Amino acid sequence: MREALRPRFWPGHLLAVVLTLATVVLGVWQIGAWQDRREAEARDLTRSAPVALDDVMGPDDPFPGQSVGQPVDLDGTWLSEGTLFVSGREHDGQDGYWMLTPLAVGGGDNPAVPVVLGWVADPADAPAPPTGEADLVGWLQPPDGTGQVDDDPSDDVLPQLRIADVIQRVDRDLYGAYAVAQGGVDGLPQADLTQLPEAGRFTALRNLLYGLEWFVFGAFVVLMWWRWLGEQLAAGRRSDEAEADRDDEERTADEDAPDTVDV
Amino acid sequence: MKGLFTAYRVLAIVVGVLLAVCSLVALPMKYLLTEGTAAQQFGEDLSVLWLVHGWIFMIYVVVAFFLSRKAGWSYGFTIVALVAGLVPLLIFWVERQVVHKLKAENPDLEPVA
Repeated sequence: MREALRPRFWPGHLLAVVLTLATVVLGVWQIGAWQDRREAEARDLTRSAPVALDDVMGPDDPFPGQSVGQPVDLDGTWLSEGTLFVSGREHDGQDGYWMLTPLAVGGGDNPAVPVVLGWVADPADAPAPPTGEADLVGWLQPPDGTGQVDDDPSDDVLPQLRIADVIQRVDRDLYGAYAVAQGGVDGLPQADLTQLPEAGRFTALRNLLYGLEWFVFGAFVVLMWWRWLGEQLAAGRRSDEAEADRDDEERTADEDAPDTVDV
Repeated sequence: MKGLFTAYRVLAIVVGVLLAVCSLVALPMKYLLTEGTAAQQFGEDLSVLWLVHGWIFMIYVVVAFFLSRKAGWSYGFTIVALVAGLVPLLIFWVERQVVHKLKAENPDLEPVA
């Protein structure tokens, strides 16, 4: 151990430390880039241009998983009698409710999509539900689904935004999704999206693999350093022994010397 | 020793070819051609090989290091051999040097491939 700390090994130790640190920094940087790019992609869908709802899903389709947060154009008639509130929704750190009114897409007897109009602190302060025609853009969201029971089905407050609960209040076929109105409706503050789209599995995979690669290189630097030190120490011991042997030989040679002179 | 030697030669050639394709074909196609053209897109798609190069280079580095220790190369030559996987075309020359060196020192190594 003391031997390994000899000054002549210091440059090697220093190089190993510098290289290992460099690989760790580069690896962390790549992993960071991987995370950033995934987050960016996840957010970006919510900022993309709105598309027609029918291009994303039909009334009877299951929710398309890759379209969480997709802005959709909604054009139709409000079903104000189906207005509901969803409890336990935060806005700016304050607990409150979402105000929700279904919109018959395209008007008439068409299936409806529940639209979150915005956030209210208390249903008592909520404005009158919207009526008539509407043309708005909303982020598409899959319905909540942890199966929390509505403990009071007689009021207009739901603990969760479940299509099965909403459908009790409107005599209408409903989409298997809801929309969060961009900018809020009727002056209500916009509800915060609870479900952001997930980035694709392969998004920025290259950065992740590069990051891991750097860590493996780091481990390799440590291995190289270990091997190098082992060899240096072994070589040092060998040369010490050789020196000792040489000393012995010289001594015997000195002792022999006088005899040779005599001869 | 013989196994390491063969593995080294195969890896050196694979790394060399990948690096040459990446740096001499994919890179100019990706950055020098007009964006949006099919050839530019091809260059961009080809850039995935950088990743393949990276991982194979990693294996190359480990194999080359163990070979260098077994063969008792100087640290200078070992470092050249390791870094060669990052400089386009250098690795082909290094591979010839290694084959020469090892065959001269170990006549029992049969010619491979």
